Amino acid sequence: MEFNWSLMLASYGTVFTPGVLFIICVGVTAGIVIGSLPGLTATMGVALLVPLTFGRPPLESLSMLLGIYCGAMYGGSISAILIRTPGTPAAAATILEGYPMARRGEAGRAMAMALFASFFGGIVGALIMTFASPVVSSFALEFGPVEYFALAIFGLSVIVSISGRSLIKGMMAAFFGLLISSIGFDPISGFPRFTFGLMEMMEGPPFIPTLIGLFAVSEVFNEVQKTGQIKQLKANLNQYLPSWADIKYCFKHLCRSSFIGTFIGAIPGAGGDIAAFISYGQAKRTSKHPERFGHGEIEGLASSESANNACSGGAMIPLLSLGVPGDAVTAVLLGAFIIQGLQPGPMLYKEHIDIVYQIFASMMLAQFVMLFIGMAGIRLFAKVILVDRAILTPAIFVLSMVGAFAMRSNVFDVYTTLAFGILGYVMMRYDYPLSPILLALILGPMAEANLRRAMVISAGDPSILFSRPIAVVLMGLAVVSLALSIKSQKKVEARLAEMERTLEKETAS
Amino acid sequence: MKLKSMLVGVAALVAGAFSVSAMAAYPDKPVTVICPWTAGGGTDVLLRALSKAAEKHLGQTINVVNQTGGAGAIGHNAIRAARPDGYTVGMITFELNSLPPQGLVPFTWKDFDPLMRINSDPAALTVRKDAPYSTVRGFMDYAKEHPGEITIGNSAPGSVWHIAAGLAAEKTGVQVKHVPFDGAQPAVTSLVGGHIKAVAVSVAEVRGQVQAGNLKILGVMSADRDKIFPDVPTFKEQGVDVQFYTWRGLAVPKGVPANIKAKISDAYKKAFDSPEFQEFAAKASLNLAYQNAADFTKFLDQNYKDVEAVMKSLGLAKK
Amino acid sequence: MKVADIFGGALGILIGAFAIWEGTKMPVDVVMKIGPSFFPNILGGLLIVFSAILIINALRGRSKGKVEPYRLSDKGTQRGLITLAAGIVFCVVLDPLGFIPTSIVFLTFMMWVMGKRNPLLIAVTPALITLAVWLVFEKVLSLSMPAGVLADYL
Repeated sequence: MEFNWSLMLASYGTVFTPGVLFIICVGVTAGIVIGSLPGLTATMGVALLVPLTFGRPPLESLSMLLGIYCGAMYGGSISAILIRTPGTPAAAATILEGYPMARRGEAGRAMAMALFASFFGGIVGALIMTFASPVVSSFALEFGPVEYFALAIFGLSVIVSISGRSLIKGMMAAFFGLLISSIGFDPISGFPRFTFGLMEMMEGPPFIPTLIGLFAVSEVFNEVQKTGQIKQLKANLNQYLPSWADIKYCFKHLCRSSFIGTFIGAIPGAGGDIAAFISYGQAKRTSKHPERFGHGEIEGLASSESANNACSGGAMIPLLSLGVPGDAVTAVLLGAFIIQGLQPGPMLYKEHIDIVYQIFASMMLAQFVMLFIGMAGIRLFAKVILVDRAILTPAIFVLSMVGAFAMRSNVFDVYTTLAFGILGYVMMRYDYPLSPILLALILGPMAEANLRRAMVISAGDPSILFSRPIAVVLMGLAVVSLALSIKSQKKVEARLAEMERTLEKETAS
Repeated sequence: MKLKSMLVGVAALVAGAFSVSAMAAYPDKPVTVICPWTAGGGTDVLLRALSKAAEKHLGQTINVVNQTGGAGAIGHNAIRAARPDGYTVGMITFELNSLPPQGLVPFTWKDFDPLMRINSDPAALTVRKDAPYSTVRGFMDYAKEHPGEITIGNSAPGSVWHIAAGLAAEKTGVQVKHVPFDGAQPAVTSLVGGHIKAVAVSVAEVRGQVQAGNLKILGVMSADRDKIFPDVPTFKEQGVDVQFYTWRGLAVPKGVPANIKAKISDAYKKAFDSPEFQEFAAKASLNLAYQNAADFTKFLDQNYKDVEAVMKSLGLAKK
Repeated sequence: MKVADIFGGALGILIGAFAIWEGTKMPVDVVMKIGPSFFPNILGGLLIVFSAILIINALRGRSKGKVEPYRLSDKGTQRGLITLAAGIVFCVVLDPLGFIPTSIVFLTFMMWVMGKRNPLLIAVTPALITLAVWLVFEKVLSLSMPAGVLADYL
């Protein structure tokens, strides 16, 4: 597939018209709002708006949906930073640094960096998608059960990096999370495990309510106890873009995470949540100040946000060139293409190459639109943090419950949210990190199902796990990353303990 | 005294309001349609397209609600347990007949009031384009000569395509390994990547890859040939008498008044016949197969017995 | 933290043991040797190992950090317990009562608990928040909320 420059320019011309730009604006705005609401993911947003595109021209429909996709990926970071509620699962890693920054009064700085990182990642993703689709997509097809298992193991090695103060408690949280992820139908035999006879548990505890409960509701319980003791949060909100110094400080991470995000996005079945955590782990491991991670380190924020937005460009690659969706959102987009009478894949390149280039162009433009709308909205969004905590905290609780319920209109999910809220609160109180549970829930099913699948294919012969180069490389990386992370984690634990001691001395004297 | 008369007045008003809303011509408020599968999936998109077309015939907004989970069990249960006032309709799918034999749900299709069948998609056996066989027979012979080599992907353990593949293997007496995936799409992707040897999913789910020249269909498990790929013979033509379909239809909870049921059926039938929906179905390569309530009921009865029997013989049913 | 760690470790061991025990009741895959219980067994085992390490560390006095003990006389603890109770009530009545009344009552109550006493603020804000949430979810995104007692009017 030769790259056709003149067609590329022509498509930019087609897309760069008031009508299409307006549609992209509408999509991005809707995406930001949906993404920032707890429980409403990018997938949900696109799925809800697909019916609106019935009977509309393809370019209009698809550019609106792409706008929602990009907007929602960024929107998730807004509530993650401001109210510790992951708007989308992909923003869960953003909470780790974004929320502590906001608590420190740096909401404006965090928001600006989240927007810029999203934009940066989105642009890298869109560029790779435009120029390297064929190469990347052939790589994506190499992923079979063995490779997915290896990828999951590599992802799980990040748990060490997000274990907070105590590695042992982090591991406990991780294995507890993995056990939770094994609730429900066994992926190969279909046997319902640990369901306690509940129909709602047959697919395990619902993911989004679990996520909202662990992070948002637990913080509500934490917050109500502190009223009166804490000052109203202050925030310096005069920032639209991160300062030059911040960009320079994070530039290395922005670039690396954007590439990681794009590639993980391009692997079918692995999406923004995995990309964000893996990039976060990379950032912490290579940072000069790993001990600052978890306490509001802007490097971590920049890497997770750039990774999850780069992921959208990456996920479009196998969709367009192979007809295979790269993540959950593109799976819904595949349906939208088909309704338009377009079958993504090699035939799309042959028969509708103009549409393919127009999608490249609108993906790129959506990033700019997202940047501008994000800049315009940043002060408005950030005002949330200035709302009286006595009003905001109960409102967050209600919004969390509504978000948990909305996904599948089931009261069971509301109970799940509350239960995980209580669990999250107790764990925070006794110093167990929450994010390992989350990562375990994302990667556990992927690890187990693919290992078992590989075993079915090989009829129980474990040597299949070492028969494929990509898998061997990934598992090797997992071992290396595990070793490095444990080393760095030891250093972090030591430094934190030292800081605590000096703090104690100061308060004592 | 004053208070008492006021209370009586309020009570009368409230009662009046209730009776008015009950008396008013159906439908006087939006109707909810429950979809037991996720937003954006095949069932959901079909239901939304159909409901959008049905809105103008019903004269009310129709909201599609996705109540997912438990391999469809939760949504089906929600339809069954809904208030039988005609304001809740639901889409029922094949899993309604495959969940009960596994002992996973406490209800069967008999707990529903079927309205109509919408579509029924046959399973197709699809392999990579470069595979050394191009007929179902050839495939089965290859499987016999190379025991333990053939892996057939399906969409989930105990799913419609798992049963279909199991049935085909049983009828031809070959040993294959069934590899369940998390949905049909990942199974197809895995086949394109060469990680498994075949998939047994619907034609719609492999169409893109077949047209792109990555995959080829060996046969469809239906009575007639497929409309999109008329060159592909059926299993029966190739001497393997297997027919296996998934299906989707509409149903209401038991107890909805007959006149309201008729209104819903009527609106949806008109939507089904509308050119917009027909065009949508063609683009999505859905095999439309309308049946009215009476035929659909008969079909469900037969289908339930067949599925149960097959699942028992494959060891998928609860012992 | 020492007592808390020992308790947490014990809980971890119990959960791990439960998973393994449940696993024994799952069907065995004779061909593959790894059936439904394969993963839970490994996970449960490792959870027990790490829990045991936590207990041993705690017994050797290596627990990190401190926890403020709960005191029922503490205002914060009281508010926490009230919130927990209100949260449970919220979940229980959400479906039968419906989203709008539940949310208004919950917000009003919680604002009061958190020290708001201005009657106008307490009366108006919960209704506004509820209405805004309801409009966005129910009307704009057409995701249905429990209607409850208002089922015939919405």
